[in-house]
Amino acid sequence: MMSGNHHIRIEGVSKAYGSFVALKGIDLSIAKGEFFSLLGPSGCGKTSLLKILGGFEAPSAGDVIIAGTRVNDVPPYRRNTNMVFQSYALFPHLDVYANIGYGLKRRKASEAEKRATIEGLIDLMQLKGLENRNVEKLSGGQKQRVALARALALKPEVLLLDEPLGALDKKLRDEMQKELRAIQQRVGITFVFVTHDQEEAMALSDRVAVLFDGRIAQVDTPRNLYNRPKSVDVAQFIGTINLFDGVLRSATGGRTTVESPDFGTISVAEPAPSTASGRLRMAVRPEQVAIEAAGAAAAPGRIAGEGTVTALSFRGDRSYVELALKTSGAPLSVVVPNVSSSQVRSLDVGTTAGFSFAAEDLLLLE
Amino acid sequence: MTTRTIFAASGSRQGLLLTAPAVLVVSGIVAFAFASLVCYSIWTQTYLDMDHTPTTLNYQRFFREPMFLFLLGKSLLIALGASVITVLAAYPVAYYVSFKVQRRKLLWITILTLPFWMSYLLRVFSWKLILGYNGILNTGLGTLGLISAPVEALLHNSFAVVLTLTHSWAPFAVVPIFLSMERIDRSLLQAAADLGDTPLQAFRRVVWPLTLSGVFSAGILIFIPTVGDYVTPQLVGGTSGIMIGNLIFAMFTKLNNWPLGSAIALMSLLAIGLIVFAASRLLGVHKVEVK
Repeated sequence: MMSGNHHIRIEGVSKAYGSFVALKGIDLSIAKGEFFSLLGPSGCGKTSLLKILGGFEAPSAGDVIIAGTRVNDVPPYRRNTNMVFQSYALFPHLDVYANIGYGLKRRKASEAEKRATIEGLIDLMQLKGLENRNVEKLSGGQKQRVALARALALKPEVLLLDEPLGALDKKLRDEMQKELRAIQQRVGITFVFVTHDQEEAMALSDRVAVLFDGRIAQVDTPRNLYNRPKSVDVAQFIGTINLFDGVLRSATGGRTTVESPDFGTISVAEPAPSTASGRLRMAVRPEQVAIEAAGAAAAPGRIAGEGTVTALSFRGDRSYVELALKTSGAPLSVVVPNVSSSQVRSLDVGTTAGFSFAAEDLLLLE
Repeated sequence: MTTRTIFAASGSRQGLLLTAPAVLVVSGIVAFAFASLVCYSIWTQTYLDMDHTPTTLNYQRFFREPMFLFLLGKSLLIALGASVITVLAAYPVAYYVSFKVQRRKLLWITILTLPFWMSYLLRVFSWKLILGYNGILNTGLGTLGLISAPVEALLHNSFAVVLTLTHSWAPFAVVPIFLSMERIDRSLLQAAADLGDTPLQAFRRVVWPLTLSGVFSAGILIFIPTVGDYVTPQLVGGTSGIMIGNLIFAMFTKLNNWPLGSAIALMSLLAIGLIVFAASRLLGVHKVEVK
């Protein structure tokens, strides 16, 4: 990323509430017009970071720079950021129209301009006909759209979204995800989106920061987070993954040789992770593993093994196979698409099955 | 209907069933008292006997003799003054406890209602001790050399009545206002700030309209009983602080004219009802939904 393109810079931001430290030295930069997600389990500090960006809380240490200006001490009402709250926070004594126009009321613009802005947003959010409805009488999806329209009405530089889809049911959530993405692309505003739902973060974002325990574990594109997680924690948080123990034998010129009880000595075209003890973890995604005939030799470029089937689960378009590896007994999950020639049909709990995966799909983690 | 079916009934129906006994008892008693008042007001007292021939003479007298209307008007004004001052004084207190106090809010509210643990009579009487000719205030100011002679204007007037009523009823005002503030979702204030409101603007545009129903119920709660109060005016009001309640009290006791007393009481009731109705219209409280 070009340095001139940094719209939001977060430099060494920490936040402590009494003795509880919510954020521990966060460094981030977010580009203009980017859809950026803060992803993590509850209590990881993602909402605190969002509140610091919105000005509702001051960082205990570090700086927040938005569009080149340090905003640490700028109160929310003087910031060019707007927030979509988790609980929507719609004003119950005002109707839909007045809620959307709430922030515009003080702005120095003609009444006609304000009305045009509000009506434009009502069209964009498909709220036509609900202008004079009491906000308490709206459905969850409608409230969500009013909250979004209200925040966008002020044409903020940055829109902050605090788990805005959390309260919606699955179907509505999927719909709102698509809408949110489309709206973001249309208005071109930088979105900072907080969520604990990794699928949602992946579906929406240009980049995602994964937070654990007040620290950033990894910042990357959704594709890289999934395919190239930098730690076991990230790998396990984003989707499911199989982990095996291994011992580092040698690492030269970007190739690493590892020894493991299940796969023998294998060589992977990947730099070794830093490991003091020489022990490391190998990881492979369930859908990257294929079921083979038991005892079949590994094809070139693939790593093969055997295990006992411990569970089988049919899910329509795919099946889940749980194996216990022959040597170590470590569990291995495999997801197999249910195509007509699927090997899965010959499997049964207790039988021995072979499996293989491409050597390039194997990840080496600390 | 068995117990089972009562509890299986829909929410509103179940609520109705559960409140029915209390509602019946209370409305029965109120209806009886009200009917008695109406009956008395159209009868005539003839020394020791009651003339039961229906007549509007008591009402005619109420409107003909200026003293009655004057006293009613004065009582309404004193009650209005006491209500407004009490609500104005209670609002910041409720605001402080609701928005600024982080822990032990209940303890604060309990302490604020502490004056209520004492007899109403004692509370009123203590003001007599403070404001009296040889009272605490006069003695204190005299000792400090701020006044050369005790001030007589402190007691036995409408000011003393309003002051005493304000003090007596303050807890009644704090609680409904506090409750209406507690109901406000705090993220609304963040949302207002986020949308550009300074704290003062957010107060005016969010907190005030959302607490208006609490303010109104606090006002009503004080206004209604203070119009007819006769203890405070009698103890601290003197002759110039007399209110309609004292007159009604006298009618039912010393003057032994229940019919006229009833007519005055009903006219006071009507006046209060009209004022409360007009005020609710004026403030637009009927539009605010109570959750």
